[in-house]
Amino acid sequence: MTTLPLTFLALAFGAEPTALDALKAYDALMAPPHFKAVTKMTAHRDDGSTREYRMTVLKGEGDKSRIWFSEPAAVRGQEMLRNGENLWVYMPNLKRALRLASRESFQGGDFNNADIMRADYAADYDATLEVDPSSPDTWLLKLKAKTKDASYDSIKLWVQKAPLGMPVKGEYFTASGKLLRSAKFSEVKDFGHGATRPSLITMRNELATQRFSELVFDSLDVTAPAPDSKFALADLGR
Amino acid sequence: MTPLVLLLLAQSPSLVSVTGYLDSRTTAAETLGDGAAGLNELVEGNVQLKLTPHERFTVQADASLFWQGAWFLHGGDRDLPQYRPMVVLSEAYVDASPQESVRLLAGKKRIVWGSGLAFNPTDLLNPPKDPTNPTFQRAGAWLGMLEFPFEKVALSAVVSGKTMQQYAGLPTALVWYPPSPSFEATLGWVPDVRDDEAHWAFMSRLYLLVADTDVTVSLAYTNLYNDAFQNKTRPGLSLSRTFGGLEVHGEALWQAGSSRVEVTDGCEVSPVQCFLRGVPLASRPFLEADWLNVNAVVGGRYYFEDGGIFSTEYFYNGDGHDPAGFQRLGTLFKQYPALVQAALGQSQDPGTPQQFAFVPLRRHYLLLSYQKPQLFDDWTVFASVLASLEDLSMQLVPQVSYEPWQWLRLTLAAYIPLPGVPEWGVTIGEDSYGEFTLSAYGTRVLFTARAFF
Repeated sequence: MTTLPLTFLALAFGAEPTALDALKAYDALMAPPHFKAVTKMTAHRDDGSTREYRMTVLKGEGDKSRIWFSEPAAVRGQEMLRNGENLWVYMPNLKRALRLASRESFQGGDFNNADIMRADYAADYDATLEVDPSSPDTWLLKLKAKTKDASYDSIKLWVQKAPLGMPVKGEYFTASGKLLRSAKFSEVKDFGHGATRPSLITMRNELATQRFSELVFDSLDVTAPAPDSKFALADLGR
Repeated sequence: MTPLVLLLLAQSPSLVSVTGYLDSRTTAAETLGDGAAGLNELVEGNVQLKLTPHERFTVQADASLFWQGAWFLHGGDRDLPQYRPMVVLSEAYVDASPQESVRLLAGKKRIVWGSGLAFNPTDLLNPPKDPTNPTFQRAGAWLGMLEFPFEKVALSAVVSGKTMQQYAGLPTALVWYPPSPSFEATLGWVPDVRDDEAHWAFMSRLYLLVADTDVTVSLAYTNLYNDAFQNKTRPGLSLSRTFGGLEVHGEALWQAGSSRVEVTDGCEVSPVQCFLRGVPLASRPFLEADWLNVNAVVGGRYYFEDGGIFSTEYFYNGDGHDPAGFQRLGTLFKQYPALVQAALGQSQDPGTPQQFAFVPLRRHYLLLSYQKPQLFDDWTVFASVLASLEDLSMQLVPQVSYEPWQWLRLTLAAYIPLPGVPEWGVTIGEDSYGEFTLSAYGTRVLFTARAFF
């Protein structure tokens, strides 16, 4: 826990960050140790119509997160739980939880489950840091999956030099090198208690370019309690 | 409402969540047996209520009101009890956590610990479900539960009393039969099957998340609860894990003996003579047997990159019949279906009406299903086939759903029974039947409209 402040101190004196510094800074901004957020996802489809989902996200220490869906009515009561590599969905119409694969599409939108429920890129990817001449205020992080269980085989992530790690855009690739999705991070917002991050993530499906999904953070509370009991499989549906 | 609930409501702002749906299911069917409806309309109004007066206390309920109509009955139109309006209280319980890792629950709740999706051999508590669409069954059992849930470990103990009689979805007798016979039994419409026994179950389980695997070890003790076993102890095991896009699972229940009904040899062709000679038509000869029996499921789901899901489960039913036993049972069933249904026992709360009621009679089953959501955004295609591997008869269920709005889902499905290999099924005279063509229904077409609120 002491390495990150020391890194920031070094950076303040002009030292160039390492790729891992930049990646950890991104993880710290996008996934604080624990938080509770109220979000809305809007999926824009090929025909121009939209589908909206409202949910509450609770992130706990480590790689734990849980989502409660409140809208639309067809998915109200549905929940998702992530604990490390394990992902479950609670289905109210089945009255039980089922295991899910991380790469499955999140509610049919253009995010996948891991995009929403896991942001520990430093654990999942090896990173190299490059300069992108076309974007002098950013670093280009090139990420390569450490294991085949990672959501994407490789990622290009543009993050601001200051504040370090603040994401600007991302590109997500398959193992064959095909561009699968691209993301734009915008509308940086101060949510209080030091939590300043983009409040809007626009994820575009590059295989069907008319499709994209927007994830808006209405609130983000980094002081909300996230006890371990909320991340127990037995707690789903309560 | 109890004083405790009122006190909690007064102390903290209550959070009430209400959801539900209005559902219309219209079924047109090819009828093959007496009482089968050529046209059936089932309308369901469902309400799910969640009251959270305190973060450690919730009250939840899930109730449905059904209106049913049946027309073009095989054998002539008449009033049939199974098509009357009814109320189904699927769940109604209070759930409290007096401490961080202590949970107390009382009421009616559907609790499923096993990892199987279509089949759950370790589930001894709940009403049966349709393996081709498990979402049709929402109902649970009346029970009390004490649980110690932790992040990767949970210990649970459940005591359940069987519903012996109910009215308007509410039990009028739990554990023991009421002192008076039912109205239908008084009129002689159904036999008076009351006994003086306590019908109850105790279930316990240890859940562990080990090496990214869900492990559930269970132990059940039942007495005349959903089957004919008395004082029966049964261990169970369930496992589930994902490997990339593949989920694999297994679930098994071990027991001594079997509660299956065997038709007495010869009685299937001349049941009247057996009756006159005082020979029982059917019996359960293996209830007290000490040989080890198992009911087990192994299966998996594969999540394709395009959102498609392929699912399969193999179900070994240790309580199933051998070919000779199935021939006797099937022969009797085709002639006297009500008699066999009574012998098999409708000993449990059926829960919500099922589109396909599955009673496994053989030993080996395979379920295959494939779902492709978001076809042209709002369309989902789904197909499942449930096959009896011993005669290769099967129930084929193709289905297509359309969601014009997020609050409305329209579904068109067909239930197509296929006879399989004639020589491996039941032969009566020159006719042959597979397990899935014994029913009073041929092909059925179902149209469902469900509006969520």
